[in-house]
Amino acid sequence: MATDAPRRGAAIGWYVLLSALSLIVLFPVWMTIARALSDGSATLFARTPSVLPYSPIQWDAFSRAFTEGGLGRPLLVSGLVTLIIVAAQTATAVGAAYAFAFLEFPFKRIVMVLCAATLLLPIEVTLIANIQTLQEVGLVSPSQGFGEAIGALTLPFLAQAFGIFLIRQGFLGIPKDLRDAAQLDGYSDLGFLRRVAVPVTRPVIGSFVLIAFLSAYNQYVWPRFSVKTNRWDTVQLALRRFGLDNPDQLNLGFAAAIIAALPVLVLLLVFQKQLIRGLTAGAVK
Amino acid sequence: MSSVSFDHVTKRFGDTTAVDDLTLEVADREFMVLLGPSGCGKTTALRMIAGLESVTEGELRIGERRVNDVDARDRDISMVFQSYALYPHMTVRKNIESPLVATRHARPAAAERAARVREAADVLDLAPYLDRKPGELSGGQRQRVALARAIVRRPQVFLMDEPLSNLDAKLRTQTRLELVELWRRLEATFIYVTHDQVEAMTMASRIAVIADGRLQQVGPPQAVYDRPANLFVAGFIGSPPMNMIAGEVDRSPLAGPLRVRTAIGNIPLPTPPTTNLHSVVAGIRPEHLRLGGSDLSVEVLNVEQLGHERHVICRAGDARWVVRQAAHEPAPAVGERVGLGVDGASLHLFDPTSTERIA
Repeated sequence: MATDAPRRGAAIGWYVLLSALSLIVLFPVWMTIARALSDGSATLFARTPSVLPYSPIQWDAFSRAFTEGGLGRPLLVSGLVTLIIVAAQTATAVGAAYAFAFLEFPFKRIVMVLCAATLLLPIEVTLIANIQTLQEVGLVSPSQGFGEAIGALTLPFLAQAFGIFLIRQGFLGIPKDLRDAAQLDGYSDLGFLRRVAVPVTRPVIGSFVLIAFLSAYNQYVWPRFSVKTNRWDTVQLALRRFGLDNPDQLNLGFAAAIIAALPVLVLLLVFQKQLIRGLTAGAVK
Repeated sequence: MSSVSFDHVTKRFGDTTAVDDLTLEVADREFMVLLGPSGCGKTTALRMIAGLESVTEGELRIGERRVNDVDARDRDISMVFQSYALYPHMTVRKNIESPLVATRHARPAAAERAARVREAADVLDLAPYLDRKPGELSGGQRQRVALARAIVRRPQVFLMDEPLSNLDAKLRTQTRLELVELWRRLEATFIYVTHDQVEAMTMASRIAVIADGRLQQVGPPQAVYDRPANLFVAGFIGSPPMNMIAGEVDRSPLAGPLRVRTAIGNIPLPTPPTTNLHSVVAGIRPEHLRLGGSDLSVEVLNVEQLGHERHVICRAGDARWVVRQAAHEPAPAVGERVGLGVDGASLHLFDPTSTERIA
């Protein structure tokens, strides 16, 4: 008992600290929900701000975000752009990672270093040059059509060094015996990649897909400069405009923000299992 | 089925020579065991046959075909790995089937594949586990899946790299028997790498003892045990190991019968050694020493009871010797000085400089 008391004290201390920290993290989320459920004018004209929704609680902000705010089209644009970027990045990353992990070719080290060096460049550094390039090829212009806008939104992100190195690390974790066994079984490089390397590293590739999705979907700076007409706004761009026209629609902005966050939340829940399950269990004694 | 031959094969990794001028002929349908301590090059030799390592020098043939530059997958060989190397994401069925589907141009029809998987699974009693994944199987079952995957393609040669070392002692004994039965049934060439001399002795048609990348001796297990070619083989094969002591051959006609003089006494020689060497190393197996003799004198350090026999550990000069004694004989007391009798006919003599056996 003598040793239990201080240990319990420490545990209580930790819980208090963690609860306080979660409150800080969750407070803005809660306020977004509270405001989304309140009438716009009620929020605007309240005498004393409240952490609770102002009555009467309004549930229709979410549907009005689509009907009045036109959130549907930006969601579709975002969805398409994200899909293209994630698919392309996964494909290029898996391919390049395989080459870096298993194949020998001239200047491999230099190519790898160059590839890694791009990790050090934040998007802001290449922003102006990239926009200019796309302007020159006609993808970025005030008269850009659907295809041009999608091209402008996706083209610079079809391959990224981060995924290459993450997945390469996963491939390097494949036991050497497994690779030898596959070689003796008669798998070609492509066969080994498809039938063994990718399935075995699924947790790593899964987490990459998740990360790629988050960063593609949540992009703001690049779309802000590459989309020249509201028609092809992504969700993150569209959120800017919500509730600015009419104080009555103030809650629509909050509702739209929640809707915009849903895909990310759903994805996290779906992939959680993928990420945790260690697929290599039982591969090698 | 097929023979495998190494013709002056050398394998170097940078400055290290893993296999040094190996010449070895593995006959068709032979169970050849490559035996040696870890790091001796036996696994490298096996991997060269598989095509997983290139040959630096010399020629490697499977059957009549030179395979130095043949791809692993075109060598028609199966290998069982120490780690089993099963595909963790595939069921047992898919694992066994894998060699049949891997190469598109040589892929048998689905019905034939299923039949062959079934057959391999039956041979190894795996039928109930076909739809499980390797992670759900015990070590012994995984090992059998690896074997089934090896036999399903009906290769020319089977290679095995310490396949039993991850099994517990009881299962290992049982699997040894199963492997030999499998070998007889398949009438195939087996090349088996191990550091465990018991596995080598019990399963091999012939043993090739390797140390430091060099072949030390090749022969049937009993021949290698009875006439080790050098000090390394003498010390490596046999458990407990052969007792050794340095000595001098006493040829003086006045000294009486021919003998080897050592620090702990004289060992009689029934026939004159075919050498002019003065200094020798004498080796005597534990079962060829008799407690109560008068040739040598040692001090008993410990007595190990094994039930069916006992091992008497003695101090012999600077060395520890082991004497094998039947369980029904009276055991000596610890600390007691005892005499040992030596059966001169079973004495092994080695050249201390070259370490070779003196014939």
